Amino acid sequence: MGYTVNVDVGGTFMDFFVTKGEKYVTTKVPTTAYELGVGFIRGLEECAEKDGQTLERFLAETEVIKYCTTIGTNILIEHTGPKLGLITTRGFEDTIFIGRGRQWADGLPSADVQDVTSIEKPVPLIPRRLVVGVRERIDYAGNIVMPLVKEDVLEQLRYLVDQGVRGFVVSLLWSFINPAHEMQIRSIIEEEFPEVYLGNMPVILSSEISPKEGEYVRTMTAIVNAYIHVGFVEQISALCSDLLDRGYKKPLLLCDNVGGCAKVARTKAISTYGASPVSGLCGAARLCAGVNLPNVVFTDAGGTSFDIGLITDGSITHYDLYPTVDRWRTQITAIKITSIGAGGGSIAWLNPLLGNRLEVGPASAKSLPGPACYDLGGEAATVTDADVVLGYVNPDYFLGGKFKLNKEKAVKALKDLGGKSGLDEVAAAMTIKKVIDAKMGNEIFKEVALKGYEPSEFTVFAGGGAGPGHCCGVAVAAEMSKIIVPPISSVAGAYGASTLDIVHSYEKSKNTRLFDYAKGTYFSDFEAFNAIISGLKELAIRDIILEGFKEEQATFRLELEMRYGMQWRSAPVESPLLTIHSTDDVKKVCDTFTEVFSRMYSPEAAFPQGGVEVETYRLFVYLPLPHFLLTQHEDAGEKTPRAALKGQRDAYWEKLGGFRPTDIYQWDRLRAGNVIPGPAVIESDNTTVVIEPDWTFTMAPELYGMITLNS
Amino acid sequence: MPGAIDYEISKRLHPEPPTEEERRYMKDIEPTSAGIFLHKLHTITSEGNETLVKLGASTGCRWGDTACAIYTQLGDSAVCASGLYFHSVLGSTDIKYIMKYWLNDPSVGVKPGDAFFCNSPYIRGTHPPDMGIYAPVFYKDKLICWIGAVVHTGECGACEPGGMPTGSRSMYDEGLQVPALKIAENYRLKEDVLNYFNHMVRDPRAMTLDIKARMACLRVAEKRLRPVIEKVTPEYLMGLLRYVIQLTGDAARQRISQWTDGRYNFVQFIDAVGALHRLTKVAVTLEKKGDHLYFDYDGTSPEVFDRVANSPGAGVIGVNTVYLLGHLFYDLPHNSGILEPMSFRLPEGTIVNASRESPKAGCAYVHEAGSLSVQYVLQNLIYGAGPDRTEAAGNRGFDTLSYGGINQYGEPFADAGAEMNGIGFGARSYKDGVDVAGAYFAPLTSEPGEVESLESHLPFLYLYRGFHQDSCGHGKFRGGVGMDYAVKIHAVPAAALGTWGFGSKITLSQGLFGGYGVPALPFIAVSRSNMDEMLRNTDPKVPSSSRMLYQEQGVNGRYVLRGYPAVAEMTKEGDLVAGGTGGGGGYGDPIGRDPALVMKDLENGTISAWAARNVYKVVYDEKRLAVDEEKTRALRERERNDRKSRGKPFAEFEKDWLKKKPGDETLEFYGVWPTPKYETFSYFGHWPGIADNE
Repeated sequence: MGYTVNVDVGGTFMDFFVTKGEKYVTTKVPTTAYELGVGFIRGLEECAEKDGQTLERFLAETEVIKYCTTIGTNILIEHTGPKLGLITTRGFEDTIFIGRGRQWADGLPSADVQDVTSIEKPVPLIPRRLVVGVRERIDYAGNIVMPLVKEDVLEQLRYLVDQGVRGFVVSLLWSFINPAHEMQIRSIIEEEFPEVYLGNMPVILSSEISPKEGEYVRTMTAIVNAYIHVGFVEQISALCSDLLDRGYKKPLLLCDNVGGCAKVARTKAISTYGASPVSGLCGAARLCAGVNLPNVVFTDAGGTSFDIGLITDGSITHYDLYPTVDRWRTQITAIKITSIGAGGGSIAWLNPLLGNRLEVGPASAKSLPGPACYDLGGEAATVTDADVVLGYVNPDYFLGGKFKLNKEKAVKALKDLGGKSGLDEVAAAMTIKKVIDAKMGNEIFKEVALKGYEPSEFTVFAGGGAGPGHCCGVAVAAEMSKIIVPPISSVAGAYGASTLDIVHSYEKSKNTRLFDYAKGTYFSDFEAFNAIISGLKELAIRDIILEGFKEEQATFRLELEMRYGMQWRSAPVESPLLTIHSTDDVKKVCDTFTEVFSRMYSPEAAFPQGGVEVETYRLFVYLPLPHFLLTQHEDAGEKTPRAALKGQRDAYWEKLGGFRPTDIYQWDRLRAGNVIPGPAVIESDNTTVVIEPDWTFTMAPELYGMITLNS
Repeated sequence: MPGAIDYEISKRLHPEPPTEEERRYMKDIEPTSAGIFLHKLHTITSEGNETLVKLGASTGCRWGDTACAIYTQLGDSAVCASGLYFHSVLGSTDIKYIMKYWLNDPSVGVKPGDAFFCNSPYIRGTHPPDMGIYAPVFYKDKLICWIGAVVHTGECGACEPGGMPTGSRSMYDEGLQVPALKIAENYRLKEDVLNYFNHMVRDPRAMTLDIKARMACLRVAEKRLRPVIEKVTPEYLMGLLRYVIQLTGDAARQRISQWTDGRYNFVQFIDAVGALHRLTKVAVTLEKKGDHLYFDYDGTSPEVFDRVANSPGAGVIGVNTVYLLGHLFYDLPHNSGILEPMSFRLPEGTIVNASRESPKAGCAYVHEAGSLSVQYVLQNLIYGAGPDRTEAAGNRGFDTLSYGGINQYGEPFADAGAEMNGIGFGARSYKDGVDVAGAYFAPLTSEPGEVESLESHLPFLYLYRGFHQDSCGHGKFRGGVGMDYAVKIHAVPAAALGTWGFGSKITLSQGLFGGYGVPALPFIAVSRSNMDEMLRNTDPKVPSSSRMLYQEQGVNGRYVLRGYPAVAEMTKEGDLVAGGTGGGGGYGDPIGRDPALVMKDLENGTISAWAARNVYKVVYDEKRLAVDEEKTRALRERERNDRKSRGKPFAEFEKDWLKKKPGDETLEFYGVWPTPKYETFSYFGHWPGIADNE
């Protein structure tokens, strides 16, 4: 059995999770932003060394490498994409700059958009002078109202070439219904700039990248994809060559934001955006499925942000249909991850206008200068400073002791803060904890509630460096009573990557009136419905074969975006049928929608008489890969983990009236079956678990922690 | 008298004084704990608002013209979802009406599971399409608070489709108007009431879906609120809701007290009275004393009894919360408390405080004009405290299409164009305004939609939609531009098309400190056109902007300059209308603008070459868009000298200026020239020398 290598690149570290059979090794190396390949190879070398191998031998024995990359994110943030030209319908050249009006708010935290006086739109990826319009028009039904004229296209094309563009995005109105004009333009470009010449340039059609309604989001999807495509290909190709030179001859699989992975050649660049938290969520789902926890809120609390994802009924089915990629609203279908500005680095401050109310965030001390206790020049009190003062975080064992914290600096920062409001440093620290816990918990509650689920039926998955330290308070605010603390939280994204299957999704917008409001009749053109599915399936089978699989190995799932007539927002519904052949089938699909809608919003909100429409068809294909499973350990036979007890230190517990000597445990010395009643603190190399009074920690056979609220 | 307006209610927009019970519960509230709990309540209203937007069907609901709020037991708005603040604040008067008339009426009563539908202009102070539903929240038979869900549902059965009939001649032309009617009982929607409403309107489907959306919003908010009450006690919640209102009021006072005392005037003209282009005005004098602001509307034009030109009053005040809570006091909790340090004096029998029967469908125009006046007196006031918060106003014309008919699927439709959510915002003291930023009334939530999503259910084919060139006020920093668009009736024989808004004859949003105001907005209809044929032939004369349509007139047909507003008329397949939304006011002298920014504007198409040369006085190479710095400097210097030579002493200017007067026809509804004065007033909030109950 060979190695599987899973790599997750973050802003600060690249995480590696390598498995071989039941064994695994992990490592973290600094992210080499100037060239990701350097850090990548360094990480592989460390993993090989940990298993006593040379890099070449290690790679020769590696079966698969899965990679969550941030190449796309970096290109967008740094604006280092190529000079692109956009060809669109004449009269609509400003669409991407209008950006549904509220473009200025896309991608910003909610706190940053409240001040309407200060708003500003982001710098566009394509400047206005590189956008041209061609005379053509297709209507809502796909009819050609105004035919395309070749001479006009050529004229616009020559203008763009003269401007020095290095690629074309073509996005015309209603092209997702009738792509004839977009395809015609591509033919004209290919005719003008054939492949044999150096001037050959990539052409991206919106109808191929995102065949869905909404000209702004469709165009932005195509632009963002084209913008990161070239740089992405260059960097990934260089990495592949490097790996090949060092002996790795198997495929490199790229993780995506649909919760799967795919060969490089079968991956759209835009689909890799945000793959890391999605992989973390998938890892959580795999872990929770194995231990019969169907409803879980995945959280990842780091230094600056708090990510939330949902697992419901044992699977991940909640998608963001219009995800914002950097500052751009797109319409790729991505697993929904909600992020708020809250974490260990969140800065506390007093709001003099509101009675000196203590607030936490959204400003963050980030990693530099960081919290005051980092002693790197930061003076503002942060969540981490509060945790140090309350005795939760051990200043001598932060990151396993690799990074010493200065408690005096934390105390001073909190005294400075508290002094202005009459609070001593401890009261100020406790208040910070309450505020941040409530902020995170309320956000979790809202995410679950908005999907139509009951928050109290969910378990909090406490990931990230700052997550387990605040999980009890967060769970209380979210009205949840169970918490799971994962065993491999320091490399959660990389671990998550190891659990991914090959997943592809295919979409097509086509308004289909399953129940017609005006006529009062059910849809009867079954072939039209089935033809859309066949078209999507054809694309899927092509990819299945190119991934090296057979059709029989694939599992298909059809999701329909549905709505009642006139509603604009649609709700995704898993179709009970892949194809329809009778009115009863149509009714069955309609009834499924009403059932889902009623559960989400109440039966009173449903209105099937108003018409039932399918707006978008989405076909998912799953190809299973072998996964690493956490080993089940036998119960150690003792509830009290004496061997793991490191000692005691004073920690503050409001319920107990102040500081109390508190047991401190070492995570990696805990054994299956150990039980720790709160209050207690468990320390590990990468996090601190704080078990508050009224909560009890139990080490599970898979060596994850389960914390439950005492009944 | 049955059906009479209860002016006492509509004047109670300000927060009620805390009751003895509320005072007791507020006493020990600690600010940070309150903050934590208020965050939870805000989460609840956000969830409610998101539910509303997801489930609704009207233009207002689809594109974010919505509000969800929690009100005190007495009906004051305490916590609301970010977005449309004035709907939230104006809901107070609806609830106060219910409390006054139905709480103790044995034939109606207020019980757990009830919900009341309200859209009376005389109570909530806006037009009939603004429809709210409010649900009481009880704990063990005690009324604790209220929850409200408000949406602008365009179609309400008025004499023209879309809810704001330009041709309305009295309140009886304006469709459904319900003071407060129980629409749900024992947590069930009353089908007979819904059925009645559906029989009153052109688009029953949108009406039903919007009502169901409001109900779902209220139910989910109540479901979330109930365990919270259990947890923190009903007493704490009641105290907290009143506390946060007081907190907002106190914080606003604190900020106001830092500004310099003084007196400031502004007048905003309106160029439309019904379908006629006549002049009226909303005058505002602000007196700032200590920590209080006094807004006096004396000098405003008189009520027009039989045309669309009037507001019932409360809305004139409520609309100011858009600017106050979104811009000037954005960092305070958003609720009725913002009105506590502010008082308003509205002359009776005027367009800002009209009587019962006159049309109110266009009250939004009065509100916008009033809000412009208020924003500008405040700019002059706050500038002294630092220019960083000073900004010219975004466009306030409310200019958009109204439409109705049968769509391409044989379904009835009637509503208003989403383009009203695509205005340009005003220039700031340090940067340009944002081009097509949103709607002024709901910048955080509203969107003008996408052409494909509009064409998917409307019988329209857009010919173009882009930046509305030169629609901004020019300046050292220019205002953002609005949207330029034209639609052709498509795939149906005909549809009714009209417009809302004003500003087709005069400047709407003014500039600041030398910045220019925005130009007037055209709206043109071309009937008996050959557009379908032109499209079939890919005719290069098919217009791609309004400028091209007007200047080249390459489309054959009958051109009629209709303007804003215009009565809905049947428009045949192939005929087209072209309109646009306005931009924001400019800031500072245009000849002080960095010429490089002028070139950028030219490149982006937001300003014309004419403006670059004649307004910004820039000399440049037209092909390369390269500035000739030296010639530009010289041209600007010449302009400065010309201005000096044209200038005259202020006394002389004023003498000449005061001789000018528009024609009698234009002033038909204006009132006494130049400044109408009044004897009787309505007071909102405490006014010096006037008893509070007067």
